[in-house]
Amino acid sequence: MITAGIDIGSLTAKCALMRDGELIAYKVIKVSPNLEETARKVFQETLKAAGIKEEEVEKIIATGYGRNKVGFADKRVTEISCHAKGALYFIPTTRTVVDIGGQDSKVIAIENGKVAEFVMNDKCAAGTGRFLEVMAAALNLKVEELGEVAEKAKRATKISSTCTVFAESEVISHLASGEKVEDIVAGIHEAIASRIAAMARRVKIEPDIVLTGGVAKNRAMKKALEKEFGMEIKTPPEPQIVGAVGAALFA
Amino acid sequence: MTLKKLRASDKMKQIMAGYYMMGNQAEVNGWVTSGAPVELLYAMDIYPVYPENHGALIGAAKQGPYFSDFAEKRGFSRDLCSYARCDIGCVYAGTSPIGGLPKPTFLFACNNICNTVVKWYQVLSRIFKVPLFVLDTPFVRKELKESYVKYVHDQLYEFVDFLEKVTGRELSDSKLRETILNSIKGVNAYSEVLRMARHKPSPLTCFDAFINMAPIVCLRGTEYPIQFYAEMKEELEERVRKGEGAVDNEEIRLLWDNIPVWYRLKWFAEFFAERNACLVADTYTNAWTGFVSMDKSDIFWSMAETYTFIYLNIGLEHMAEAINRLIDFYDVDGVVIHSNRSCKPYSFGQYELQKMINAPSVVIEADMVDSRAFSEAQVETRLEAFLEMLR
Amino acid sequence: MNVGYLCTYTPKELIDAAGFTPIRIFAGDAQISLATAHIQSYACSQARGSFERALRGELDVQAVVFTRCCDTLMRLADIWERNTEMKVYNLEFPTRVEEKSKEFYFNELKDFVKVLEEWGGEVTLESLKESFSLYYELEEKLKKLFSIKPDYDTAKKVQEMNVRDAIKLVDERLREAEGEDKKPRVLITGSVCPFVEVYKLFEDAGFALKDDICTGTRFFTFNTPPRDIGSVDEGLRFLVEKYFDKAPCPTKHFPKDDRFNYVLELAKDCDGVVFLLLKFCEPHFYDYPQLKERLEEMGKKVLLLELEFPIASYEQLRTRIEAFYEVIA
Repeated sequence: MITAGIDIGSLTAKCALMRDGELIAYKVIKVSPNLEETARKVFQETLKAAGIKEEEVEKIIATGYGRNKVGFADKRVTEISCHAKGALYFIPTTRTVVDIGGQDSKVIAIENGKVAEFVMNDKCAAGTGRFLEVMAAALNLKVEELGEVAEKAKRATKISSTCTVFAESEVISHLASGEKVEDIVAGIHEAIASRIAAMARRVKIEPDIVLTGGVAKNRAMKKALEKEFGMEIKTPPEPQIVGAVGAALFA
Repeated sequence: MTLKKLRASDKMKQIMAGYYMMGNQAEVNGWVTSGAPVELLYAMDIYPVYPENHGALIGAAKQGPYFSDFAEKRGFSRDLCSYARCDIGCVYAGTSPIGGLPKPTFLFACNNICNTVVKWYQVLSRIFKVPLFVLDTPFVRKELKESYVKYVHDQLYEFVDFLEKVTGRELSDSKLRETILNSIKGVNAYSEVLRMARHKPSPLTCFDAFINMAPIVCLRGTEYPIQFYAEMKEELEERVRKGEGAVDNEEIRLLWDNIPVWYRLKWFAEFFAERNACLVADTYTNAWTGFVSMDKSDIFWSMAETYTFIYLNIGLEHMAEAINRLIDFYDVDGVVIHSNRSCKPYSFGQYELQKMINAPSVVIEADMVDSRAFSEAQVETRLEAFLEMLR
Repeated sequence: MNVGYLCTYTPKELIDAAGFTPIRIFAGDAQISLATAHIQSYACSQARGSFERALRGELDVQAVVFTRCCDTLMRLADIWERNTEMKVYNLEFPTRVEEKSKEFYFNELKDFVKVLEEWGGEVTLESLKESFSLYYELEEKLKKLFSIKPDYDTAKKVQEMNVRDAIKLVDERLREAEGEDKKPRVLITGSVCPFVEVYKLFEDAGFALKDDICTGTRFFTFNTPPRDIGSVDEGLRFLVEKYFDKAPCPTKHFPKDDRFNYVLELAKDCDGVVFLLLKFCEPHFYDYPQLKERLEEMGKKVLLLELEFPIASYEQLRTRIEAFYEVIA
C-alpha cells in the first residue's frame, strides 16, 4: 500500500511517500499564501520524484499548521502525533521529541510508542523558528546562515529579553555597543535553547531525545540544546520530513 | 454542525433582561464582586450590579477589544484584567452592549476571588466619588483559622452598619434569614443541574453551564434561580430519559478549568462536539456550589466561613482536591486548562496542579474577554493533539 | 538559619528576635528559565526572577515567609513550597489597613511566633527589645543617609544581611556621604527595582533623586516612635502599629486613599515624576492613570518606564531618562 503524508508548516511544505511503511520519496518546498495549492504542488512533485501516479496512492494524510486547508486529504492528524510517529520511524529508541517549528515549538514525551504528554510554547514566539527569523533579519543574515555563524563565536552574548520584540531591539543595541555578530548569534541560540528547555521541564524527559524540524540541521542549535538538557540529542537523517513521514504512517 | 440548544437558555435571557431592567429602576444599587455575600444586599432591597458579569457579556458580544480601548487610552495597561479594563472602558465610553451600567450608590469589593478587585474598585470609587467597602478575606493556603473567620465575621457586621448608613434603611433579621434560605435553595437547585452531567452521555456541557450561570451569580438570594434551575433540571432529565447526550456519540469526557473564553464559547462548543468530546463540567461554575449549610445559629459566622473558603481563595492542595473530586464524580478522561492572562489567582499554579490531579491535562493560552490574546491555530492544534492522545 | 521574604510588610524584627536572619529575596541577573516550567510568563519578573534564583540554588535561605500582598505572591507560596526544600509560611497581612484590622494582624503575629519556635527559634522579651532597637537604629540611619544622598546600593545590601552588619555598613557610608549641588529633582515611584544601575542612569542624566520604591525609602520609612514594652504581646502590639503606619503600598486598601496622598505629598518638591513599574504588576498599574492625572494637575511632568528583570538594555532606559531630563531642565 502506498500512502502520502503532507506536512504544511508555516514556512515550508513537506511531502513523504511510503510503500508498506518504507519511505520511497519526499520533497520540501516553500509555502505560498495559497495552502491548498502548496499542498498539491508538493504532492505532485513528490509523485514525480517517485515515478508514481496519483491513483496509486491509497491514503493521503495531512498534518501541520495548514492541515485543515488540504482539501484532498483523507484524514488530518496534528503534528504532535505525527512528529512522535515519524521520530520513532527514524529512531525507534526515541522517548522525547523536541521540535522547533516556525510558529510552535513542542516537546513530546513518548511512552510505549505513544504520545504520553506534550507541551508547547505559550502564545509568544520566543523559542520558535519565528524568533530565529526575526533575529536573522535584525542582523542582516539568512536563517540558514545562523548556525554556521554561531559556531565561530568565542563566547555567547547574553540575550535577556523573553519577548521577541524586545529581544530584537536588545540585539540591535548589542550591535551598537560593538558586540561581535557571531557572539550575538550564539547568544540567540542559547536564548532559544533555554526557552525550550524551560518548557520541556513540564514533562518527563527521557533519553533518547530526538530533535526534529528544519532547525535540527543547525548544529549550533543542537549543541546549545544539549548543553541545556545535559544529554546528547539525536537527529534523524532528514529532520524536516519527520512530520510528513509520521503522517503517512497514520494511514 | 448545529449545537443542541437548551430551552432553558431562552428563559434565562428573559430573567436576565428583567434583572437588567430592575437595575435602571432601582433607587439604591451597589456594584459588587462575584464572590461577595450578596445576600446582605438583597435582604435590604438593594440592587446588586455585577461588573464581572457585565465583562463576560462584553466578551460574549465580542466587543472586548473595542471597550478595552477606551480604558487603554486613559493609560490602563493592556496587561490588566480584561473584565476590569472593559468595564472601566464602558464607564469612559458612557455606554456598553446593554447601554452601560447604572451609576453606583456604593461599591462593595470582596477579595476572596482576587486582589485585583480591590484595585479595580478603588479606581471606580475615584471616578464615581462614592464610598467603597472592602471585605477582606484572608487567603486560606492551608487551614481555615478561626481568627480568619472572626476577622471576616466582624467585617460583615461592619458592612451592615455601612449599608444602613448609606441607605438609611435597617436590616431585618427575618428578611436576612429568608434571603439566605433562598440563596441556599438556589445554590442547591443549581448544583443539581450541574450534577446531571454525571449521566452518560451527559445531558449538558460546561458551555450550557456557562451560558446559564448568570442567575446564580446575580440573583442569588431571590426566588428566580430556585425556579429557573428546577425547570432546567427537568429539561435535562427529559434528555436523560431519552438517552440523549448534549454531544452526539459522547466518546471523551472532559473537565474545563478557569473562566470561559467568552468570545469563543460557540467555537469551543462546536470544536468539541464535532470530535465527540463533551466537556461535562468545569471548576468555574462549580465554585458556586460549595456553600456550607446554615446550620449554625450565627448566620454571620457561617457566611464568613463560606465566603472565606471559596475556590479561588484557597491553596493549591485544596484546589487539587476539589478538581480531583470533580474528576472522580464526573468520571472525566482529561482536563482542559485555560491559562487565562487576565486571571492570575486562577491561572498561576496550574502547572503544579497538572502534576497534582488524577487525569491527563492540556494547557491552552487565552484570555476570557480580550480576543487579541487568542490564537485559533495554536489552540486548535493543542486541543486536537490532546484528544488524539486520549483516544 | 536565614529566613527569606519578598514583601516589606514582613515583620523582620520578629525573625531577628527569634535568632534567625531575615534576608530579602530579589530577582537576579540570570535569564529566567527554570521558573518558566512552574509559572506563566505573565507573572511579573520579580516573582519569576526570585523563584528562578531559588531553583538555581542561588539563595542561602532555609525558609521563606510570604504575605498575600498580590495575587502572584499568593500563588507563588505554594509553587515555592512544592519545588524547593525550603520551609514556606504565609503570614497574612490584612489588605484593609485600618484600626479594625489590627486585632486580626495581632493574631497573625502570635501565630507567626509559634511558627518561628517550631523552626527552632525563640522570641523573648529581651530579644524582641533588642531587635526593635536595632531596626529602629538602622531605619533612622538610612533616613539620614538618604536625606544627604540616596544610596540604592547600600539600601539593597542592608536588606540582604543581618541587621547588626547593616548598621555598620550604613555608618560607614554616612561617614563618606556628601550632599549634592542643586539639580532638578525627580521622584521615582514604583514597586521593586533591585538593579541599582537603574538609579545610576538617573544620576548620570543629571537628576537628584527622591523615591517611593519598595526597595528604596518605602522599606525603611516607618513612623511609629519606639516605646518600652513589658511583654512579648506588647511587643507584637507595637509591631502592629509600626507596620500599619509604614509608608503605604498600593497592594493595600486605606480608607482615606493614603497611598495617593503619600505620593502626591512626596512629589511636591520634585520637578518630575517617573513611574518605574514592573511589567504585569497589577497593583501599581491600576493606580497609574489616576495618579498620573493628579500629578499632572499639580504641574508635574510624568514619565512611565516599564521594566522587566533582568534588565535587557540599559541603553534604552538611558535614552528615555536623558530625554526626560531634557524636557524638565
